[in-house]
Amino acid sequence: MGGKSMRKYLIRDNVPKVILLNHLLLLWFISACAYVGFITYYDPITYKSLTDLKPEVMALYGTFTTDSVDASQIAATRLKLAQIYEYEKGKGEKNRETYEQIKKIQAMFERHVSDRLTTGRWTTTHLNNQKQNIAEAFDIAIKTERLKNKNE
Amino acid sequence: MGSKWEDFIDNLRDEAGKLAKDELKDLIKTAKDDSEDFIKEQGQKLEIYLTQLASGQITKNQFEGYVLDIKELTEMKALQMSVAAKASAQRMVNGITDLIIDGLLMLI
Repeated sequence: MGGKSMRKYLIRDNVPKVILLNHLLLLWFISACAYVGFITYYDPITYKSLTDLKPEVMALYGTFTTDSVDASQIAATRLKLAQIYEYEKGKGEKNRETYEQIKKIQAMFERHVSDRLTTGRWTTTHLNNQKQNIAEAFDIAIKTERLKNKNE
Repeated sequence: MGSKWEDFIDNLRDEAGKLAKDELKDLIKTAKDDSEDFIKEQGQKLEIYLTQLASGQITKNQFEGYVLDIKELTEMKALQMSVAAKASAQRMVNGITDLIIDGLLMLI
């Protein structure tokens, strides 16, 4: 049987088997990609860490309208952010989006704190603007964690 | 006559021609009209900040800080969208594996 006839035979008489094989190969490929390239599953520890820290940061910012600065509270918040970052980074590249988000929250926090320390106490307008932005940063990271699938 | 923030941009002295004033105004207006809520909100915030700057409620340095905040928030949002897409694909793959490969095909 020649090549063309063979192809016609395979295609005409064995269509279901050929299609099935192709689909199985495709599914195997997708599964391999899933193992390698997707994302981490939802982590309740991550969710709780972020939801707990957000009000702490809001409370800290509230003190920035006064003359005194609580350096220990700033340091404690900085430490918690660093701990969250290391925890997320430890999950590897499949968690890249989350640890990159934490890094941005850290950068925003540092910029805000530096502003307070160098320019003095905040006005109400400035406080509200800063709070709105850092709160939104936390909200984005919290929602991102909720978007992840549960490992069931 | 435009709004306070538009007048503020128009009245900025820009002898070197560094600022594309019309493009900036269009950027903000387009963002405010965007169908995506997040983009719309950032456009509204920019308008608020410019109005505050124009009326002296905030300083130039503070305004610059807010703009960096918006940039970072937008980058965070892009990361969130990446997670959403990957989670959706992951659900598809898990469904295919569990329901079709391990389920349906075993019965055929």
